[in-house]
Amino acid sequence: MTAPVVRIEDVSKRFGRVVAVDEVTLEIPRNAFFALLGPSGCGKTTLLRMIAGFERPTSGRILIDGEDVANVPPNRRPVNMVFQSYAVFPHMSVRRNVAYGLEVVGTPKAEVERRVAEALAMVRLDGLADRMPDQLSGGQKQRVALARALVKRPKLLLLDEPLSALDRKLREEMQLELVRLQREVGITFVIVTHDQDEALSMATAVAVMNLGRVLQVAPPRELYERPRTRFVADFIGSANVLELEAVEREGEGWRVKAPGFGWLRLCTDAAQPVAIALRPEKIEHGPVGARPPQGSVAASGRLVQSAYFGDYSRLFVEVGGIGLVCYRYHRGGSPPLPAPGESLLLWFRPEDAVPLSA
Amino acid sequence: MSRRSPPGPLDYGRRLWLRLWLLATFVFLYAPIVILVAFSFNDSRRNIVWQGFTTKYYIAAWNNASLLEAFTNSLIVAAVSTSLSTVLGAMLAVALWRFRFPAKPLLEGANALPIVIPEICMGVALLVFFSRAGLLASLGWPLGLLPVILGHVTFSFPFVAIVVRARLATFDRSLEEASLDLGASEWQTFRYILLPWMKPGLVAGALLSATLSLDDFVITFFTSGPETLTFPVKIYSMVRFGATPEVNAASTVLILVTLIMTVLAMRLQSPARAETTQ
Repeated sequence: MTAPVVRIEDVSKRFGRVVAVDEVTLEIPRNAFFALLGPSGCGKTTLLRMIAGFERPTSGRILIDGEDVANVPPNRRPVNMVFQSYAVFPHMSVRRNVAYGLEVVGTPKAEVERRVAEALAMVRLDGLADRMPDQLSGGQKQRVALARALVKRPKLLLLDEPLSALDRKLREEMQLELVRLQREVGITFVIVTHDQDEALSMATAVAVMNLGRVLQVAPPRELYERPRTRFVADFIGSANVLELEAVEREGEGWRVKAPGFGWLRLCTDAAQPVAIALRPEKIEHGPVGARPPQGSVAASGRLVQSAYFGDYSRLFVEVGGIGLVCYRYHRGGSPPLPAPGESLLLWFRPEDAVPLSA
Repeated sequence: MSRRSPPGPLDYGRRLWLRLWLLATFVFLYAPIVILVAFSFNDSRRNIVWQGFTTKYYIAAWNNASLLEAFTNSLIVAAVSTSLSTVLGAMLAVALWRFRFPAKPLLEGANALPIVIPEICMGVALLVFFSRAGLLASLGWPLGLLPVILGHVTFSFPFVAIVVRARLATFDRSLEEASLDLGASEWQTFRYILLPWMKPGLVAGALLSATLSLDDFVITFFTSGPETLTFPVKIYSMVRFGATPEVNAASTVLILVTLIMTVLAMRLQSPARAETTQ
């Protein structure tokens, strides 16, 4: 059970001069809900298509269940895919779409019928088995694509931006549905997405990619709380990245100087930091003259602008020549928002500052 | 109430001048055909004045053995050349759509050539080619149609290729990948996914090819022997001795055949039917 279901070893893919995937090494644990997250063009879809067998790596190996699949064509891999466009066969009914993958390999008729009914029940499409795809909504087509892949009982289900074409409400519903399905069937899911909310809320582990490289692989919480690079900090949620003005070794950790806030101590055994990330919700603020709690680092700034989001507002504050974002939650009895141009005091706890090494 | 309101900006169907224009177009297009059909029932040797209703020219045309033979020839040629050119055209279309190979632009150009080349040139070229190959005149009836059939395939399969390729251009490649991903072989993917997608294009291409074959005159004229006249060539030779209502009657039958084929093809292609058959 502990052996990873997929091992990707030093895999690169070049299209002519373009390097789409650059020496990626990655392990996808069994029974995980694994997300490949990155901006468009970062190589995540290419990586997925190499696992499915639609692209061949230029170099490196891909092992599925310990077996090198370099020479295994897509129709022989124990892997199924849900396409971004769903790719539901337009001339077949829902039932025939789902049965297709079993029929082409000569599964006995009775078994096909039973497994199709099971798969349709699993994605809650039982009532629509005889509909044609053009009579289905986007969400229903998505379910057909899911059932069609799951009915094959693959070792690995690949999902290429599965929710990007759905409207927001349906997307949230499908997120929960996918998580439920993954638990129910116990198949490893690998989802490609550019939407960090999707990755964070569904996945058990996330690999963040940029420019063909995997930057960090971690569970969502760790990824958010402890990003290692500027890119990850900035891509996952929003972050204030402060370039350090000076760094000194101090015992186990580092003593660093952040613009505006001055010197602070970072307890980390990681490599020498070049910047720190501060999540907006970790920055507290108050009127000038407020007394920040013991041990926190403070600086005074000027409110440039605020944006209202209903349950909270975003405050854009200038501190020592750089812009910072922090939040004001609208709780009962909160003091009124400061006006633009007013001075504020900002502070944070040094342990909330995340050292970034690149 | 709504009739009172003035036509909207895109309500072209409700503008009088446009309706008149439409009417004039229809008259221009269909009046000759209507007259041709009407005069096939005219009880007169000459096709000038209406003398009274009769169906005797249909019987005369039916009893005209050589006309009937030409008609049969035309149907055989159309059937065989359509089947051949549909298969060839579809294969060419798939090859051009699917693969990248060195001489592809050349092949694409060569594909369009039979369409743009003047028919007269092609007729002469085929005549020279077939007589050099010894294919002309020496053969008896059914085999004597071979040069005509080959000629028709030559000019009609590029049309099929173009129509099928246009259909393929709208094919979502991920359907093919999905099929492979689900465990289907390349052949199964072609048979169950690509071919059904191509079907409307194949039907349209076959129809086009059949129509082209049925009414082709120039190329057939050069490639047919005296024993293997097709319908248009036969009509032409009859008209040279004056257009009798017999010709009208025969032409009316041909129009009817084409019409029935078109209706059938449209029925076959309609989405309602596609759903119930799949």
